[in-house]
Amino acid sequence: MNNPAEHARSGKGAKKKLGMRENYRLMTRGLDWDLSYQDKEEVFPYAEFEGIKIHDWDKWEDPFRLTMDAYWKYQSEKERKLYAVMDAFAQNNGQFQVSDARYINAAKLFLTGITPLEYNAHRGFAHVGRHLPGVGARIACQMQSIDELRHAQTQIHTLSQYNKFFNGFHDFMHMHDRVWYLSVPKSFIEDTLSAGPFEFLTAISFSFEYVLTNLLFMPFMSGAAYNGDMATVTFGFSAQSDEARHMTLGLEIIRFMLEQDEANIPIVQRWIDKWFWRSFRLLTLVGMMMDYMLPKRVMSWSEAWEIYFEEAAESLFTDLERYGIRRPKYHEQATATKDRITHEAWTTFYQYRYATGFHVWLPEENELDWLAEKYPTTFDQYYRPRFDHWRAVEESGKDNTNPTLGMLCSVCQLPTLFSHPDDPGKLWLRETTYGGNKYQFCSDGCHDIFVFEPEKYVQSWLPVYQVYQGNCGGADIEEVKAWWHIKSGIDDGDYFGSEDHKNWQRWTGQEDDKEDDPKSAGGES
Amino acid sequence: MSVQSLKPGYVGEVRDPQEKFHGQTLLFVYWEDHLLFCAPAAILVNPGDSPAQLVEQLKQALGYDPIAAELTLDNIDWYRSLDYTSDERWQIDANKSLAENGLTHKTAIRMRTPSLGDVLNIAKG
Repeated sequence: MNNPAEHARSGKGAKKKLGMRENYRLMTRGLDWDLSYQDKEEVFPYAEFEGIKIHDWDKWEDPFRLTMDAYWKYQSEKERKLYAVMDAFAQNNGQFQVSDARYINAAKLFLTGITPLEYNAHRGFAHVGRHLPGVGARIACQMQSIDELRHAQTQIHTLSQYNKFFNGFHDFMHMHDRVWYLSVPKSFIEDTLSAGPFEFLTAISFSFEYVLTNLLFMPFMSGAAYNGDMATVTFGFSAQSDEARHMTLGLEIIRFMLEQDEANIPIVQRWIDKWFWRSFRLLTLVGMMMDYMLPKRVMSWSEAWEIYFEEAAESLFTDLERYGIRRPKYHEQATATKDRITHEAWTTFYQYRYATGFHVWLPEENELDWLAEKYPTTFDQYYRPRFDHWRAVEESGKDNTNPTLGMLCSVCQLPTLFSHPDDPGKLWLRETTYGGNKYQFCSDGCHDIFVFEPEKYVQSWLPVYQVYQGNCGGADIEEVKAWWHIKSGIDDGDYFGSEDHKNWQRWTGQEDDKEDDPKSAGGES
Repeated sequence: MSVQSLKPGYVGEVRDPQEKFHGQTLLFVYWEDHLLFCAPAAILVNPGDSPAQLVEQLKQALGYDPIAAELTLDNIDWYRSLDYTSDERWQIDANKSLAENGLTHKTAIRMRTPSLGDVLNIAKG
C-alpha cells in the first residue's frame, strides 16, 4: 500500500477517520524518509551552491494546507467547468463576440510570449520540487509544477479556438524559441531555470508571482473581459485560485530564507533587485498590450503601476524592513519611466512590424486622445509626433518601416529602446567590456545584472546578432521570417488591410460600412 | 565570482565574437535626438572601409529618417560614450580605416548633427 493515509486508516486499531491535521501531516511531511546509505550532498546537489544557509527545514511553514488527493479533486472540478465554458464558447462562435479583431493580437502575444513561460515554470518547479532538502517546500513546489503545466494546457486549449479563425497562432512554441521579441520572455525564464533553486523561487514565486503578478494577470484578464473574450476570462479565473497559492509560496520562501540565517539577507536582496528589474522589463510587453492593443481599454499601464506596484509594494516592503530588506534597487527608475515605456515599446513594434508574429497598427484619433489624457506629461510631447509622422508618410504612399535592425540589451534582450529616467528625449544606454568584448544594455539594472555574472550573460542568444551571423535561415528578412515560421504578409504587418481584418469585416458584416483602410478616416470625425 | 555556478571554474561561451561575423564587424550607431529610431542601429561594416564609406552606408541604413540623406563626414560630431551626458568627442581621421580609427567589433558610437534638423520637431528638454 503506497498511500500512507490509507495505510493509517486501515491499520489495526484505527477506529475512526483521521483528522484533517493528521491526514495532512501524513500526506506531506510523512512522505519523507531519512537517508540511510547516501550522503545528503549527493542527493541534494543544488542545495548549497548559492550560499543560502538553512539550519532547520522543520521551521518551514507550508504555505497552503493542501494534500495531493484534495488537490486532484479541486483541480478536476475547475477543469470540468472550464472545458464546459470552452465548449459553449466554441458552439456560440464566441470568437465573433470580441470587441474588435485587433484584440486578438493580444491573445497571440499571450500565447507566444506567456504560455511557454507557464510550461517552463512547470519544468522549473518540478526540478526545485525534487532538489530542495525540505519536504514541505518540495511538496509545495511539486503542486505548483502541476499547476503551471495545467495553466499551459488550458491556455493552449482555450486559444486554439482562435487558431481556427485568425492568423499567427499556428506555431507558438517554435516562434517562442526563435522570434526576436520572444527572446525577451524566453531569456527571462531560462535565466531562472539555470539559476539555483533558491534564486528560482525568489525570481518566480516572490518577485514575479508575489510582487508583480497583478500586473500580468489583471491586465490580460480584465482586458479579456472588457473586450468580450470570455474564454480567456474563464481560464484566468481557473488559474486565479492557483495564483493565490503561488503568492503564499513566494512570501514563505522569502520569510524562511531571511529567518534561517542573517547571511542570507544580502543574497536575497540582490535577487530581489535583479528579478524586480528583469520582471519590470518583461512587463513592458504587457503594458504595451494594455495601452495599445485593447480596443476597449481597462486602465493605463501607468495607473496599473501605481495601484499594483507603488501602493502594494509600500505595505509589502514595509513589512519586510524588519528583516533588513529594502525596496528593490531601481524601483525609482521604474516609476520615473512609467509614463513612457509602453509608448516606446509600441513605436518599436510599429517600425519593425514587417517582422512580428502579430499585427500592429497606428492608433486611431480617439485612441491618441485617450493616450494623451492618460499620459499628460509625455504623450503629446514625445510620442504623438512619431505617430503623426508615420501617418503622413503612409498617406504619401511611402514605406514608413525601419529597415535597419537595432542594438539589443545583453540581459533583457529588448532593443535598447528606453529613454533615460532623467530625459525622455534621450536613450538610456549603458556599456561594459568583459574579456575583451563589448556589451551594451538598456538600463543600469540590466548593466548591473551582467556585471555580477558576466559568464552567464556573455552567452545571451541575441536575435539580431544571430541574424547577422547567418544563423537564422538566411541574410534576407524574408528568409529569416520563414525560419521563424511567420508567414510574410499574413501573420505580420499592419492590421488594417490584413487577412484578419478583411475576414473580420466580412464575418461581422462591416465590409460596406468602411473603406478598405478605415484608419485613413481617423481624423475626419 | 563571475557566475553563480555549481562547480568552480565555469566559463560561458561568448556568443558574438568577431570571428563569427564572416570578416565584418558589428557596429552600433546612436543618432542622438532622432527619436524616429527606437534604438541605435546595428550595422555590419567592413573594417577596412573609410569613414566616408561609413557615412554613405549610414545614409542608407538610417534612411528611414529622411534627414539621413543630408549626412556628410563634416556635419557629424562623433562621441565616444553612448551616455548622452558625456561630451568626450571621438576624433575620426578621414584618412584612416574604421578599424584604424578604433571602430572595432561591437563598438557603439554616438553621433550628433547639430546643423541638421529633427524630422519630428521635438523640443529639446
